[in-house]
Amino acid sequence: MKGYLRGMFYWVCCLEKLFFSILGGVVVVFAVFAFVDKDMEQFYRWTLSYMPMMGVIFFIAGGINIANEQIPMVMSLGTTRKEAAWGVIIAMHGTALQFWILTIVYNAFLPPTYVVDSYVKVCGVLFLFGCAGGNGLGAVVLRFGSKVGLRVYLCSLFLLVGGGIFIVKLAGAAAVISFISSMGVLVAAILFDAAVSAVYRMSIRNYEVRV
Amino acid sequence: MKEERLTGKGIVKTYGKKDVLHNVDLELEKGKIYGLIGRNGAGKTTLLSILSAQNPATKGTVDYNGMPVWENREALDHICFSREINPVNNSKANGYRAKDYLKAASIYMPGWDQEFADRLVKEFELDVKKRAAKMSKGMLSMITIIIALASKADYTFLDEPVAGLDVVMREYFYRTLLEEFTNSGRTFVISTHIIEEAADVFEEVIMLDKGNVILKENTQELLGRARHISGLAENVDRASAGLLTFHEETMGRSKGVTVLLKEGEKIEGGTELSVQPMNLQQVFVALCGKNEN
Repeated sequence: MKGYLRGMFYWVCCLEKLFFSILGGVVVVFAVFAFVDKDMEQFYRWTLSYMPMMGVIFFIAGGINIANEQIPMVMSLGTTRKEAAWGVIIAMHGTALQFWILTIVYNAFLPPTYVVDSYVKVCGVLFLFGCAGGNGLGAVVLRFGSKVGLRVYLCSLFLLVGGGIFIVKLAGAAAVISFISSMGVLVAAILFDAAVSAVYRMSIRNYEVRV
Repeated sequence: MKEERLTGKGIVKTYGKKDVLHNVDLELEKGKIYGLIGRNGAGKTTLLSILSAQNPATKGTVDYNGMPVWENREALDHICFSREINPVNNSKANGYRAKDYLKAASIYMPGWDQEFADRLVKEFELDVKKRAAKMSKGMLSMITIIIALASKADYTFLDEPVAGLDVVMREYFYRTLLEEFTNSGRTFVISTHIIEEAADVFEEVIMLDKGNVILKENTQELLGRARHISGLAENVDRASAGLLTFHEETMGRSKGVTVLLKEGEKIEGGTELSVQPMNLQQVFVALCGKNEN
Protein backbone atom coordinates (compact mmCIF):
# COMPACT_ATOMS: atom_id res chain seq x y z
CA MET A 1 0.00 0.00 0.00
CA LYS A 2 2.80 2.40 0.93
CA GLY A 3 4.36 1.93 -2.50
CA TYR A 4 1.06 2.78 -4.20
CA LEU A 5 0.59 5.88 -2.05
CA ARG A 6 4.13 7.03 -2.65
CA GLY A 7 3.70 6.59 -6.38
CA MET A 8 0.32 8.32 -6.40
CA PHE A 9 1.78 11.26 -4.53
CA TYR A 10 4.50 11.63 -7.14
CA TRP A 11 2.16 11.51 -10.15
CA VAL A 12 -0.31 13.84 -8.56
CA CYS A 13 2.50 16.32 -7.83
CA CYS A 14 3.65 16.20 -11.46
CA LEU A 15 0.18 16.58 -12.96
CA GLU A 16 -0.88 19.26 -10.47
CA LYS A 17 2.25 21.25 -11.25
CA LEU A 18 1.31 21.22 -14.92
CA PHE A 19 -2.37 21.88 -14.24
CA PHE A 20 -1.68 24.94 -12.12
CA SER A 21 0.85 26.25 -14.64
CA ILE A 22 -1.88 26.16 -17.28
CA LEU A 23 -4.40 27.66 -14.87
CA GLY A 24 -1.91 30.38 -14.03
CA GLY A 25 -1.59 31.18 -17.72
CA VAL A 26 -5.38 31.38 -18.06
CA VAL A 27 -5.62 33.69 -15.04
CA VAL A 28 -3.00 36.01 -16.55
CA VAL A 29 -4.93 36.12 -19.82
CA PHE A 30 -8.13 36.72 -17.86
CA ALA A 31 -6.49 39.62 -16.05
CA VAL A 32 -5.36 41.13 -19.35
CA PHE A 33 -8.84 40.91 -20.83
CA ALA A 34 -10.58 42.09 -17.64
CA PHE A 35 -8.33 45.00 -16.67
CA VAL A 36 -6.49 46.02 -19.80
CA ASP A 37 -8.73 45.23 -22.77
CA LYS A 38 -11.90 45.43 -20.71
CA ASP A 39 -13.54 43.13 -23.28
CA MET A 40 -14.79 40.07 -21.43
CA GLU A 41 -16.83 38.81 -24.36
CA GLN A 42 -13.72 37.78 -26.20
CA PHE A 43 -12.40 36.09 -23.10
CA TYR A 44 -15.57 34.08 -22.57
CA ARG A 45 -15.69 32.94 -26.20
CA TRP A 46 -12.01 32.09 -26.13
CA THR A 47 -12.18 30.01 -22.98
CA LEU A 48 -15.39 28.22 -24.01
CA SER A 49 -13.75 27.17 -27.28
CA TYR A 50 -10.32 26.32 -25.99
CA MET A 51 -11.08 24.75 -22.62
CA PRO A 52 -12.18 21.37 -23.99
CA MET A 53 -9.36 21.42 -26.54
CA MET A 54 -6.72 22.28 -23.93
CA GLY A 55 -8.07 19.57 -21.68
CA VAL A 56 -7.74 16.89 -24.37
CA ILE A 57 -4.27 18.08 -25.42
CA PHE A 58 -3.17 18.15 -21.77
CA PHE A 59 -3.98 14.46 -21.34
CA ILE A 60 -2.59 13.30 -24.63
CA ALA A 61 0.67 15.20 -24.20
CA GLY A 62 0.77 14.18 -20.55
CA GLY A 63 0.30 10.50 -21.35
CA ILE A 64 3.16 10.47 -23.85
CA ASN A 65 5.43 12.57 -21.64
CA ILE A 66 4.84 10.31 -18.65
CA ALA A 67 5.65 7.20 -20.67
CA ASN A 68 8.71 8.70 -22.35
CA GLU A 69 10.35 10.48 -19.46
CA GLN A 70 8.80 9.87 -16.09
CA ILE A 71 8.16 6.14 -16.17
CA PRO A 72 11.86 5.38 -16.87
CA MET A 73 12.86 7.69 -14.04
CA VAL A 74 10.50 6.27 -11.41
CA MET A 75 11.17 2.69 -12.50
CA SER A 76 14.86 3.33 -11.87
CA LEU A 77 13.97 4.47 -8.34
CA GLY A 78 12.53 1.11 -7.34
CA THR A 79 8.80 1.32 -7.96
CA THR A 80 7.03 -1.77 -9.23
CA ARG A 81 5.36 -1.78 -12.61
CA LYS A 82 1.97 -2.36 -11.02
CA GLU A 83 2.37 0.67 -8.76
CA ALA A 84 3.54 2.85 -11.64
CA ALA A 85 0.63 1.79 -13.86
CA TRP A 86 -2.07 2.32 -11.23
CA GLY A 87 -0.46 5.55 -10.10
CA VAL A 88 -0.59 6.96 -13.61
CA ILE A 89 -4.10 5.68 -14.35
CA ILE A 90 -5.57 7.07 -11.13
CA ALA A 91 -3.69 10.37 -11.27
CA MET A 92 -4.72 10.97 -14.90
CA HIS A 93 -8.37 10.24 -14.10
CA GLY A 94 -8.19 12.40 -11.02
CA THR A 95 -6.88 15.26 -13.11
CA ALA A 96 -9.61 14.70 -15.71
CA LEU A 97 -12.15 14.98 -12.92
CA GLN A 98 -10.43 18.14 -11.74
CA PHE A 99 -10.66 19.66 -15.21
CA TRP A 100 -14.33 18.73 -15.32
CA ILE A 101 -15.05 20.27 -11.91
CA LEU A 102 -13.28 23.43 -13.08
CA THR A 103 -15.54 23.44 -16.14
CA ILE A 104 -18.64 23.04 -13.97
CA VAL A 105 -17.58 25.90 -11.67
CA TYR A 106 -16.69 28.12 -14.62
CA ASN A 107 -20.00 27.33 -16.31
CA ALA A 108 -21.84 28.25 -13.10
CA PHE A 109 -20.26 31.71 -13.06
CA LEU A 110 -20.64 32.40 -16.80
CA PRO A 111 -23.10 35.15 -17.75
CA PRO A 112 -26.29 33.43 -19.02
CA THR A 113 -25.81 34.68 -22.58
CA TYR A 114 -22.63 32.62 -22.93
CA VAL A 115 -23.86 29.36 -21.41
CA VAL A 116 -23.99 26.58 -24.01
CA ASP A 117 -26.38 23.66 -23.62
CA SER A 118 -24.69 20.40 -22.70
CA TYR A 119 -21.32 22.16 -22.53
CA VAL A 120 -20.38 20.55 -19.23
CA LYS A 121 -21.45 17.11 -20.45
CA VAL A 122 -19.50 17.47 -23.71
CA CYS A 123 -16.38 18.62 -21.83
CA GLY A 124 -16.67 15.63 -19.48
CA VAL A 125 -16.86 13.18 -22.39
CA LEU A 126 -13.96 14.88 -24.19
CA PHE A 127 -11.78 14.85 -21.08
CA LEU A 128 -12.53 11.15 -20.62
CA PHE A 129 -11.59 10.44 -24.24
CA GLY A 130 -8.50 12.63 -23.79
CA CYS A 131 -7.49 10.69 -20.69
CA ALA A 132 -7.99 7.40 -22.49
CA GLY A 133 -6.11 8.73 -25.51
CA GLY A 134 -3.18 9.83 -23.36
CA ASN A 135 -3.00 6.50 -21.55
CA GLY A 136 -3.39 4.67 -24.86
CA LEU A 137 -0.47 6.52 -26.40
CA GLY A 138 1.48 5.96 -23.22
CA ALA A 139 0.80 2.24 -23.53
CA VAL A 140 2.10 2.27 -27.11
CA VAL A 141 5.29 4.03 -25.98
CA LEU A 142 5.82 1.62 -23.09
CA ARG A 143 5.29 -1.43 -25.25
CA PHE A 144 6.84 -0.40 -28.58
CA GLY A 145 9.11 2.53 -27.77
CA SER A 146 8.97 6.28 -28.24
CA LYS A 147 9.51 6.31 -32.02
CA VAL A 148 6.46 4.14 -32.66
CA GLY A 149 4.55 6.15 -30.05
CA LEU A 150 5.35 9.41 -31.84
CA ARG A 151 4.18 8.02 -35.18
CA VAL A 152 0.92 6.78 -33.67
CA TYR A 153 0.47 10.16 -31.96
CA LEU A 154 0.96 12.13 -35.17
CA CYS A 155 -1.37 9.85 -37.16
CA SER A 156 -4.03 10.01 -34.45
CA LEU A 157 -3.71 13.79 -34.23
CA PHE A 158 -4.10 14.14 -37.97
CA LEU A 159 -7.14 11.87 -38.03
CA LEU A 160 -8.76 13.43 -34.97
CA VAL A 161 -8.24 17.07 -35.89
CA GLY A 162 -8.86 16.55 -39.58
CA GLY A 163 -11.80 14.27 -38.95
CA GLY A 164 -13.22 16.59 -36.31
CA ILE A 165 -13.09 19.66 -38.55
CA PHE A 166 -14.64 17.70 -41.43
CA ILE A 167 -17.49 16.37 -39.30
CA VAL A 168 -18.25 19.77 -37.75
CA LYS A 169 -18.31 21.40 -41.18
CA LEU A 170 -20.52 18.62 -42.55
CA ALA A 171 -23.00 18.20 -39.70
CA GLY A 172 -22.71 21.53 -37.91
CA ALA A 173 -21.46 22.29 -34.41
CA ALA A 174 -24.89 21.92 -32.78
CA ALA A 175 -25.40 18.41 -34.14
CA VAL A 176 -21.92 17.37 -33.10
CA ILE A 177 -22.44 18.74 -29.58
CA SER A 178 -25.78 16.94 -29.38
CA PHE A 179 -24.17 13.66 -30.48
CA ILE A 180 -21.27 13.92 -28.07
CA SER A 181 -23.59 14.69 -25.16
CA SER A 182 -25.72 11.58 -25.82
CA MET A 183 -25.77 8.68 -23.37
CA GLY A 184 -24.44 6.26 -25.97
CA VAL A 185 -21.25 8.27 -26.48
CA LEU A 186 -20.76 8.60 -22.72
CA VAL A 187 -21.05 4.83 -22.27
CA ALA A 188 -18.66 4.30 -25.19
CA ALA A 189 -16.19 6.73 -23.59
CA ILE A 190 -16.36 4.91 -20.26
CA LEU A 191 -15.87 1.50 -21.87
CA PHE A 192 -13.05 2.76 -24.08
CA ASP A 193 -11.35 4.32 -21.08
CA ALA A 194 -11.66 1.11 -19.06
CA ALA A 195 -10.23 -0.94 -21.93
CA VAL A 196 -7.31 1.45 -22.39
CA SER A 197 -6.55 1.38 -18.67
CA ALA A 198 -6.37 -2.42 -18.83
CA VAL A 199 -4.10 -2.22 -21.90
CA TYR A 200 -1.87 0.27 -20.08
CA ARG A 201 -1.48 -2.12 -17.18
CA MET A 202 -0.59 -4.94 -19.57
CA SER A 203 1.84 -2.87 -21.62
CA ILE A 204 4.03 -2.07 -18.61
CA ARG A 205 4.14 -5.67 -17.35
CA ASN A 206 7.58 -6.48 -18.73
CA TYR A 207 8.82 -2.93 -19.11
CA GLU A 208 12.59 -2.62 -19.24
CA VAL A 209 14.38 0.42 -17.90
CA ARG A 210 16.92 1.58 -20.43
CA VAL A 211 19.22 4.55 -20.32
CA MET B 1 19.10 -15.96 12.48
CA LYS B 2 18.90 -16.11 8.71
CA GLU B 3 21.61 -13.99 7.12
CA GLU B 4 20.46 -11.37 4.64
CA ARG B 5 21.46 -12.02 1.09
CA LEU B 6 20.52 -11.25 -2.48
CA THR B 7 20.73 -14.34 -4.67
CA GLY B 8 20.57 -14.72 -8.40
CA LYS B 9 20.24 -18.25 -9.81
CA GLY B 10 20.52 -19.33 -13.42
CA ILE B 11 20.07 -15.79 -14.76
CA VAL B 12 19.84 -15.71 -18.52
CA LYS B 13 19.11 -12.58 -20.51
CA THR B 14 18.49 -12.68 -24.22
CA TYR B 15 17.83 -9.78 -26.57
CA GLY B 16 16.52 -11.18 -29.82
CA LYS B 17 18.92 -13.98 -30.70
CA LYS B 18 21.76 -12.61 -28.64
CA ASP B 19 22.49 -13.95 -25.16
CA VAL B 20 23.77 -11.16 -22.97
CA LEU B 21 23.94 -13.16 -19.73
CA HIS B 22 24.57 -16.90 -19.63
CA ASN B 23 23.29 -18.81 -16.63
CA VAL B 24 24.68 -16.43 -14.01
CA ASP B 25 24.66 -17.60 -10.40
CA LEU B 26 25.52 -14.94 -7.88
CA GLU B 27 25.12 -14.50 -4.15
CA LEU B 28 25.61 -11.09 -2.54
CA GLU B 29 26.02 -11.11 1.22
CA LYS B 30 25.11 -8.28 3.50
CA GLY B 31 27.77 -5.88 4.63
CA LYS B 32 30.27 -6.07 1.78
CA ILE B 33 31.53 -3.83 -0.96
CA TYR B 34 31.67 -5.73 -4.22
CA GLY B 35 33.49 -4.56 -7.31
CA LEU B 36 31.80 -5.64 -10.52
CA ILE B 37 34.28 -5.41 -13.34
CA GLY B 38 34.08 -6.40 -16.95
CA ARG B 39 34.75 -5.11 -20.41
CA ASN B 40 32.33 -2.98 -22.35
CA GLY B 41 29.35 -5.11 -23.29
CA ALA B 42 30.15 -7.82 -20.74
CA GLY B 43 26.68 -7.48 -19.22
CA LYS B 44 27.37 -5.52 -16.03
CA THR B 45 24.51 -3.04 -16.34
CA THR B 46 22.14 -5.78 -17.50
CA LEU B 47 23.06 -7.90 -14.49
CA LEU B 48 22.54 -5.03 -12.05
CA SER B 49 19.21 -4.19 -13.74
CA ILE B 50 18.00 -7.74 -13.28
CA LEU B 51 19.18 -8.00 -9.68
CA SER B 52 17.23 -4.82 -8.91
CA ALA B 53 14.15 -5.92 -10.92
CA GLN B 54 14.47 -2.98 -13.25
CA ASN B 55 14.58 -5.45 -16.12
CA PRO B 56 13.14 -8.94 -16.32
CA ALA B 57 15.42 -11.94 -16.77
CA THR B 58 14.66 -14.25 -19.68
CA LYS B 59 15.27 -17.15 -17.31
CA GLY B 60 16.35 -17.54 -13.72
CA THR B 61 15.38 -16.06 -10.40
CA VAL B 62 16.51 -13.28 -8.11
CA ASP B 63 15.60 -13.51 -4.45
CA TYR B 64 16.10 -11.22 -1.51
CA ASN B 65 16.09 -13.22 1.72
CA GLY B 66 14.12 -15.95 -0.03
CA MET B 67 11.54 -13.52 -1.47
CA PRO B 68 11.45 -13.03 -5.23
CA VAL B 69 12.50 -9.51 -6.09
CA TRP B 70 10.42 -9.13 -9.24
CA GLU B 71 7.44 -6.82 -8.65
CA ASN B 72 7.85 -7.28 -4.91
CA ARG B 73 7.56 -4.02 -3.00
CA GLU B 74 8.85 -5.54 0.22
CA ALA B 75 12.07 -6.69 -1.42
CA LEU B 76 12.53 -3.62 -3.60
CA ASP B 77 12.43 -1.33 -0.57
CA HIS B 78 15.83 -2.79 0.32
CA ILE B 79 17.44 -2.44 -3.09
CA CYS B 80 18.59 0.64 -4.98
CA PHE B 81 20.15 0.69 -8.42
CA SER B 82 21.05 4.27 -9.12
CA ARG B 83 21.40 4.44 -12.87
CA GLU B 84 23.39 6.65 -15.12
CA ILE B 85 21.43 9.76 -16.11
CA ASN B 86 21.38 10.72 -19.75
CA PRO B 87 21.47 14.35 -20.91
CA VAL B 88 19.28 13.26 -23.83
CA ASN B 89 15.94 11.51 -23.39
CA ASN B 90 14.44 9.83 -26.45
CA SER B 91 16.22 12.22 -28.82
CA LYS B 92 15.06 15.20 -26.76
CA ALA B 93 17.18 17.24 -24.33
CA ASN B 94 16.60 16.01 -20.79
CA GLY B 95 14.77 18.89 -19.16
CA TYR B 96 14.77 17.48 -15.64
CA ARG B 97 16.75 19.33 -13.04
CA ALA B 98 18.91 17.68 -10.38
CA LYS B 99 16.31 18.64 -7.79
CA ASP B 100 13.61 16.79 -9.76
CA TYR B 101 15.61 13.57 -9.51
CA LEU B 102 16.34 14.09 -5.84
CA LYS B 103 12.71 14.94 -5.10
CA ALA B 104 11.50 11.83 -6.91
CA ALA B 105 14.08 9.72 -5.04
CA SER B 106 12.92 11.17 -1.72
CA ILE B 107 9.34 10.14 -2.53
CA TYR B 108 10.07 6.65 -3.81
CA MET B 109 12.83 5.53 -1.46
CA PRO B 110 11.51 4.63 1.95
CA GLY B 111 14.85 5.05 3.74
CA TRP B 112 15.74 8.34 2.09
CA ASP B 113 18.03 10.53 4.22
CA GLN B 114 17.35 14.12 3.20
CA GLU B 115 19.99 15.54 5.53
CA PHE B 116 22.64 13.28 4.04
CA ALA B 117 21.50 14.20 0.52
CA ASP B 118 21.72 17.91 1.33
CA ARG B 119 25.21 17.46 2.74
CA LEU B 120 26.34 15.59 -0.38
CA VAL B 121 24.85 18.27 -2.65
CA LYS B 122 26.85 20.85 -0.74
CA GLU B 123 30.07 18.82 -0.76
CA PHE B 124 29.76 18.09 -4.47
CA GLU B 125 28.90 21.76 -5.10
CA LEU B 126 26.06 20.58 -7.27
CA ASP B 127 23.70 23.18 -8.75
CA VAL B 128 20.37 21.43 -8.21
CA LYS B 129 18.50 23.89 -10.41
CA LYS B 130 20.55 23.07 -13.48
CA ARG B 131 18.87 20.94 -16.16
CA ALA B 132 20.39 17.55 -16.96
CA ALA B 133 20.84 18.54 -20.61
CA LYS B 134 23.19 21.32 -19.53
CA MET B 135 25.17 19.22 -17.07
CA SER B 136 28.60 17.70 -17.58
CA LYS B 137 29.08 13.93 -17.27
CA GLY B 138 30.62 14.47 -13.87
CA MET B 139 27.61 16.40 -12.58
CA LEU B 140 25.27 13.69 -13.79
CA SER B 141 27.42 11.16 -11.95
CA MET B 142 27.09 13.26 -8.81
CA ILE B 143 23.30 12.97 -8.93
CA THR B 144 23.60 9.21 -9.32
CA ILE B 145 25.97 9.01 -6.36
CA ILE B 146 23.79 11.21 -4.13
CA ILE B 147 20.70 9.11 -4.88
CA ALA B 148 22.60 5.88 -4.19
CA LEU B 149 24.16 7.01 -0.93
CA ALA B 150 21.15 8.88 0.47
CA SER B 151 18.78 6.01 -0.40
CA LYS B 152 20.10 4.07 2.61
CA ALA B 153 19.07 0.88 0.81
CA ASP B 154 20.52 -2.35 2.18
CA TYR B 155 21.72 -3.32 -1.29
CA THR B 156 22.93 -0.42 -3.35
CA PHE B 157 24.22 -0.74 -6.89
CA LEU B 158 26.22 1.92 -8.66
CA ASP B 159 27.02 1.65 -12.33
CA GLU B 160 30.27 3.45 -13.14
CA PRO B 161 29.64 6.12 -10.53
CA VAL B 162 32.94 7.94 -10.99
CA ALA B 163 32.69 8.38 -14.76
CA GLY B 164 33.40 12.01 -15.48
CA LEU B 165 34.35 12.94 -11.91
CA ASP B 166 37.62 14.75 -11.39
CA VAL B 167 40.22 13.16 -9.13
CA VAL B 168 39.29 15.32 -6.12
CA MET B 169 35.65 14.28 -6.34
CA ARG B 170 36.59 10.64 -6.91
CA GLU B 171 38.62 10.67 -3.72
CA TYR B 172 35.73 12.30 -1.91
CA PHE B 173 33.34 9.65 -3.26
CA TYR B 174 35.50 6.73 -2.09
CA ARG B 175 35.97 8.36 1.32
CA THR B 176 32.24 8.96 1.73
CA LEU B 177 31.42 5.48 0.52
CA LEU B 178 33.71 3.89 3.09
CA GLU B 179 32.35 6.15 5.81
CA GLU B 180 28.79 5.20 4.91
CA PHE B 181 29.71 1.53 4.71
CA THR B 182 31.36 1.62 8.13
CA ASN B 183 28.41 3.41 9.72
CA SER B 184 25.60 1.43 8.14
CA GLY B 185 26.95 -1.97 7.05
CA ARG B 186 25.10 -1.66 3.75
CA THR B 187 26.07 -3.77 0.77
CA PHE B 188 27.42 -1.91 -2.22
CA VAL B 189 28.03 -3.28 -5.69
CA ILE B 190 30.07 -0.90 -7.79
CA SER B 191 30.85 -1.41 -11.42
CA THR B 192 33.78 0.56 -12.70
CA HIS B 193 36.41 0.72 -15.41
CA ILE B 194 38.83 2.66 -13.19
CA ILE B 195 39.80 -0.55 -11.45
CA GLU B 196 43.05 0.27 -9.74
CA GLU B 197 41.69 3.32 -8.00
CA ALA B 198 38.72 1.42 -6.62
CA ALA B 199 40.50 -1.84 -5.83
CA ASP B 200 41.30 -0.83 -2.25
CA VAL B 201 37.60 -0.32 -1.59
CA PHE B 202 36.44 -3.69 -2.91
CA GLU B 203 36.20 -6.48 -0.40
CA GLU B 204 35.16 -8.90 -3.12
CA VAL B 205 35.54 -8.68 -6.83
CA ILE B 206 33.15 -10.12 -9.40
CA MET B 207 34.51 -10.43 -12.92
CA LEU B 208 32.08 -10.63 -15.76
CA ASP B 209 33.21 -11.64 -19.23
CA LYS B 210 30.85 -12.05 -22.21
CA GLY B 211 27.87 -12.64 -19.97
CA ASN B 212 29.56 -15.13 -17.64
CA VAL B 213 30.75 -14.64 -14.09
CA ILE B 214 34.29 -15.94 -14.45
CA LEU B 215 35.40 -15.07 -10.97
CA LYS B 216 33.97 -14.05 -7.62
CA GLU B 217 36.52 -13.86 -4.90
CA ASN B 218 37.87 -11.91 -1.97
CA THR B 219 40.09 -9.25 -3.49
CA GLN B 220 43.08 -9.81 -1.24
CA GLU B 221 42.92 -13.57 -1.69
CA LEU B 222 42.78 -13.15 -5.45
CA LEU B 223 45.76 -10.82 -5.46
CA GLY B 224 47.55 -13.24 -3.15
CA ARG B 225 47.36 -16.01 -5.70
CA ALA B 226 47.87 -14.03 -8.90
CA ARG B 227 51.44 -13.88 -10.15
CA HIS B 228 53.18 -12.74 -13.31
CA ILE B 229 56.06 -15.00 -14.35
CA SER B 230 58.57 -13.76 -16.90
CA GLY B 231 61.93 -14.90 -18.21
CA LEU B 232 63.28 -17.21 -20.89
CA ALA B 233 60.44 -19.03 -22.59
CA GLU B 234 61.64 -22.55 -21.67
CA ASN B 235 62.07 -21.54 -18.02
CA VAL B 236 58.66 -19.94 -17.88
CA ASP B 237 57.05 -23.02 -19.47
CA ARG B 238 58.78 -25.29 -16.96
CA ALA B 239 57.79 -23.15 -13.99
CA SER B 240 54.17 -22.76 -15.08
CA ALA B 241 53.62 -26.39 -16.09
CA GLY B 242 50.47 -27.70 -14.40
CA LEU B 243 49.43 -24.23 -13.21
CA LEU B 244 46.38 -22.27 -14.40
CA THR B 245 47.85 -19.78 -16.84
CA PHE B 246 46.44 -16.77 -18.63
CA HIS B 247 47.60 -14.13 -21.02
CA GLU B 248 50.86 -15.27 -22.51
CA GLU B 249 53.14 -12.63 -23.99
CA THR B 250 56.10 -13.63 -26.10
CA MET B 251 58.99 -11.36 -27.09
CA GLY B 252 61.74 -13.17 -28.94
CA ARG B 253 63.11 -15.80 -26.53
CA SER B 254 61.40 -14.23 -23.53
CA LYS B 255 57.94 -14.99 -22.31
CA GLY B 256 55.52 -13.75 -19.66
CA VAL B 257 52.43 -15.48 -18.30
CA THR B 258 49.89 -14.75 -15.61
CA VAL B 259 49.12 -17.60 -13.26
CA LEU B 260 46.41 -18.07 -10.65
CA LEU B 261 47.75 -20.38 -7.99
CA LYS B 262 45.45 -22.82 -6.27
CA GLU B 263 45.85 -23.70 -2.64
CA GLY B 264 49.14 -25.44 -2.00
CA GLU B 265 50.63 -24.61 -5.40
CA LYS B 266 53.86 -22.69 -5.78
CA ILE B 267 56.15 -21.53 -8.53
CA GLU B 268 59.49 -23.31 -8.86
CA GLY B 269 62.17 -21.44 -10.71
CA GLY B 270 64.63 -19.62 -8.57
CA THR B 271 66.66 -16.73 -9.93
CA GLU B 272 66.09 -17.63 -13.60
CA LEU B 273 62.60 -16.20 -13.40
CA SER B 274 60.96 -12.97 -12.38
CA VAL B 275 57.85 -13.63 -10.30
CA GLN B 276 55.85 -10.50 -9.57
CA PRO B 277 52.64 -9.88 -7.68
CA MET B 278 49.89 -8.26 -9.70
CA ASN B 279 47.36 -5.57 -9.07
CA LEU B 280 43.67 -6.03 -9.73
CA GLN B 281 43.73 -4.23 -13.06
CA GLN B 282 46.54 -6.46 -14.32
CA VAL B 283 44.65 -9.58 -13.21
CA PHE B 284 41.54 -8.33 -14.98
CA VAL B 285 43.39 -7.61 -18.22
CA ALA B 286 45.03 -11.03 -18.05
CA LEU B 287 41.73 -12.82 -17.54
CA CYS B 288 39.48 -10.76 -19.80
CA GLY B 289 41.81 -9.01 -22.20
CA LYS B 290 42.63 -10.00 -25.77
CA ASN B 291 45.17 -12.76 -26.54
CA GLU B 292 44.08 -14.74 -23.54
CA ASN B 293 44.72 -18.50 -23.58
